[in-house]
Amino acid sequence: MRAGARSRWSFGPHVSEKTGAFNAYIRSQTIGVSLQDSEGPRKKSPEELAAEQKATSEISGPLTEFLNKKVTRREAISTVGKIAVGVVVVAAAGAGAAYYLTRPTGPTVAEVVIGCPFPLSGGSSGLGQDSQAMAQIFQDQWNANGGFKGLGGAPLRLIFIDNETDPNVGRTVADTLVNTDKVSAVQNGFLSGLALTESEETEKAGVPMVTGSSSNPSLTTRGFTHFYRLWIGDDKLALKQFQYLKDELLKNNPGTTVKNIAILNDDTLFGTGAGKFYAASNNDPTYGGYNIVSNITFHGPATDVTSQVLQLKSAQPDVLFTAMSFVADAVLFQKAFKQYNLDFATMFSSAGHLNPPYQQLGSDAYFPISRLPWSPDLLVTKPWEQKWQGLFKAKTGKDMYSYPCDTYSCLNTICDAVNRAKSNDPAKINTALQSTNLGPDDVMEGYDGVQFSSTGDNTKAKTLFVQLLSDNVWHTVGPSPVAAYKAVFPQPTWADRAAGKIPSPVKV
Amino acid sequence: MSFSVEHVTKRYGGVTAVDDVSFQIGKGEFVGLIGPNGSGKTTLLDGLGGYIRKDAGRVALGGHDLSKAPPYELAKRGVGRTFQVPRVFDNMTVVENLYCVPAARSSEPKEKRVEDTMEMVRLASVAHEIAKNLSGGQKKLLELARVVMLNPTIVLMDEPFSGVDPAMLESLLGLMREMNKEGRTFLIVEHNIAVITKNCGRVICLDEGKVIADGSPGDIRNDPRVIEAYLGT
Amino acid sequence: MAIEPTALIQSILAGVFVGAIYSLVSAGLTLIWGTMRIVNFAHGALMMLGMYMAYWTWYFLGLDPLLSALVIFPTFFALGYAIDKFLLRRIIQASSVAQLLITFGLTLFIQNVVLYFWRSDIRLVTTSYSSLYWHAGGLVFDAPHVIAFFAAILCGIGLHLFLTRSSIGLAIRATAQDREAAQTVGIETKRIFGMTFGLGTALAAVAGAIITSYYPVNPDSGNQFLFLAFVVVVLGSLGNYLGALVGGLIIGVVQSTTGYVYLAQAELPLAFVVFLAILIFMPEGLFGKRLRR
Ligand SMILES: Nc1ncnc2c1ncn2[C@@H]1O[C@H](COP(=O)(O)OP(=O)(O)OP(=O)(O)O)[C@@H](O)[C@H]1O
Ligand SMILES: [Mg+2]
Repeated sequence: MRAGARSRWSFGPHVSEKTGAFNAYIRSQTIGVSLQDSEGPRKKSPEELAAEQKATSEISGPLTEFLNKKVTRREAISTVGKIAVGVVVVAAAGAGAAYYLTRPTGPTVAEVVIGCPFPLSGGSSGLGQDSQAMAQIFQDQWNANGGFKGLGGAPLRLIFIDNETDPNVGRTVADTLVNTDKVSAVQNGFLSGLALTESEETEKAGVPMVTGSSSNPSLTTRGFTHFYRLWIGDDKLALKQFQYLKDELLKNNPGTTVKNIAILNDDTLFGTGAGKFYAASNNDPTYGGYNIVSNITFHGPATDVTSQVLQLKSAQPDVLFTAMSFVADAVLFQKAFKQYNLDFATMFSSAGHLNPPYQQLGSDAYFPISRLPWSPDLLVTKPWEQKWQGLFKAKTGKDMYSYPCDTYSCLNTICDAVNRAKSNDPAKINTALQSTNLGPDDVMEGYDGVQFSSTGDNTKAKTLFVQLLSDNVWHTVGPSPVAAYKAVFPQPTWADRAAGKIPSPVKV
Repeated sequence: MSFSVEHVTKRYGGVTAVDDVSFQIGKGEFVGLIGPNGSGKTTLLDGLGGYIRKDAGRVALGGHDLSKAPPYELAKRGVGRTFQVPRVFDNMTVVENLYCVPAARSSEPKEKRVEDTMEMVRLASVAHEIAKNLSGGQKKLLELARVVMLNPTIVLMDEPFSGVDPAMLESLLGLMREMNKEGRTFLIVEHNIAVITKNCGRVICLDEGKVIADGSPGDIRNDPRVIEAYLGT
Repeated sequence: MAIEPTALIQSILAGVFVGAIYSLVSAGLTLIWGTMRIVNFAHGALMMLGMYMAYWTWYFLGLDPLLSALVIFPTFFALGYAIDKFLLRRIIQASSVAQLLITFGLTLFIQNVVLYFWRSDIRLVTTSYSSLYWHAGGLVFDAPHVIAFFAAILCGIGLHLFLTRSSIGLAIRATAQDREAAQTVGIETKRIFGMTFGLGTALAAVAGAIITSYYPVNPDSGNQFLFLAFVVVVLGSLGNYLGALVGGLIIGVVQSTTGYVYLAQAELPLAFVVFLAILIFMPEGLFGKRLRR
């Protein structure tokens, strides 16, 4: 069965589409009726489909021709066959008629199908499930606003599929999306490892993929012509952090000196990559030049991190650069830092720390600095995002955060290209993507908009520096033109925290 | 409590290892089961003990049909069993080997039964030794002690004396006689004809899966079919 | 980097603390393997379920994970017994592939049910002693680790007493050593399998419960422990619970000290090298010849 191929080892309906009925449910998450959906969950054999197309075109002629342009008239089929398929055809024609009546202009495309592989299970499933929620909201809103204007109001239909946070599974599901589901484009949220394998399949099939904050630099150095990224590569991001440290944090706080730094990363693709870029950035003549006193790669998710923390304790770095994929590790480390009294002037962090459950640590979690495409302060500078925040909260019970915003912006970028291409043909959409020119209000992030270079990198991307301040919110503390709050630097020592000396957020 | 075996048959492919065997053993009898190699003695014992599925036949103890009972059920009904190669629980101590026997058939506290049994089998000196360190004879004693713990009505033993030195043989036999005196029935498979004729009141002889003789040791020794089966023609 | 004696001692102790947890998880796994000859891939998932039960009883009733462990033990014993009765009993004679598939399937089922109801977000338990530290001779101990360690040691001692003193415990060991002989002395091995699976499951769940005071709970939490438990089970001689109890401590300390004195990224590979070395040079494991047959 099909569901087996989509999500090989998952049983829960939440995560996979176990039954045909559920499959159909997911697939029909769209306003408007498509021919495929009205036929119910059973997958028809090619022969059946061909017979039906023939019958359709013979019996209901022009009415169904708009539903499927590829209809061909060939030799007549037997009367018996005609009667047999007649019932189905009448139903389809009825649905088609209803559809026709609700659409004032005759669309040339019934719907636009976009593939959404998400990590719905496995290590990053929380992020995947939240991103899926945002994608569903986007789909509902898009269709409620009249669908694709460039295609006479054709609706958007998203296909969700679980890549299990596993790059190998990602390859398989991407193959299913492009070759079986024949999607027009694929959005890929935020995980580099998954973007890497999934994009190989989409590239082969000539289907464009837009990824959000998958930040592995190699993604856009492969010479792919159907791959686009909204955010910045880790190599450039690492250097930007060193730049921020020198140009802002140290410059604004002359009482603090930083000589020694340490790098701590896990052994995932993201972790090892980011660790290398930190080390490389330290060689930068302008922003680098510190002593790297410890450079640790650990196996994540870990059962215990004492030995790594003790190594760091012996090394005594002034600033710690971390790259952890898993929030469980971020929690374990932070607890151990507290236990063993490890004080830094600041700690740069990313993925794992940004996952909201990290904040369950309460005041112990405060003050790491991270780089992000989005922060809640944008809800103030871009008030239109508040509506989405409300929808997201209603659906998930959570506040919006960076990863679901990635999904929004990826989908909006794709949909803009579809409108301009006036087609659901992947090749035409790809051409349209190359001439994308979106403004700051077309994306949720703090970018100036979207415009792609020849490598597929977004030349209008920008990073925000955010810090988890003592109101337990990641606030924008840099770069200075967009900073909403003052960075807490150096961060209070554990002794100070125990004594209640925790600085309050200060607006700039 | 008589033990009755009726028409028990077991085939392995073309070989009929046990062929329509029937006999009755009365309470307190001490019966030897002999026969040349491959005559079906072990197979018969396994069939009686519930280890292998019989192709036909009925086994009953004191009127209770035990034909389909699994080994643990037989044990609870008072059928004890020892093996050709003793199967003690190697990684457990001698005492533990006795303690693990469920106390289904006795009202006495287990501690006392274990103590009495240790006394009876004279293994007290090695009570806390790991069973795998025992000598072969001691293992046979321990296996029998486990059977004692069951408070058995009948004991089925497969070659209890093979590989046992003469001194140990005496204590093993002594223990068996003691149990026999308490009214417990014995069915012993044995190669050593001398031991059988000296100790058993009755001998059953198997050949090619069939009972070819059943009687007193004297009768068996002189039975031409037995002689033929053992010496061949 | 200089190796500091206090830090080394601290990391050895950290290894002992986490090792005691490996011991409990592994003891359950090895009992199930030794007695039933089933490689229980669902062990990690059952441990994770134990963590969730501890989390929810803390969340809704404010019960300390150590106290809820007292409830979790019988609950998961019953769950394990039921899993054996309704699922495993049918496949106990089946091929090892069938057994593997069923325990693996059970894992996926449990994980997806948990994902469905509680999503994959990590959850933290906060107790009154979450931020309680003791300082002694330059060493720092946090109450959650120390308490969980002693709880694990108590469980280990309890397990040992149960398996050496109680009739059922002895029957479990007898069944593990010789199924047929066990039946011969009247042990109903079918029931013993249920008890064993129940006991193994309860041990995993309790191990999970007692670490929730410091370890984040999420649907993947059990997997990290399961992998190491397999290493421990082989190290401690398959099926030997004492070997598993000691082996858990050894792996914990090896992992932690290599993480400190050598390279952090070496700790898992090194545990793996130890594992392979033992398979090659001591195929029977560190603790004797359990697997004769
Ligand atoms: N599992 C088996 N499969 C096939 N044939 C078997 C099996 N077990 C026993 N046999 C055959 O059944 C016959 C009886 O064997 P059994 O072991 O019962 O003889 P025995 O009288 O105990 O011999 P011994 O004196 O050597 O112990 C032999 O021909 C043997 O080859
Ligand atoms: Mg024999």
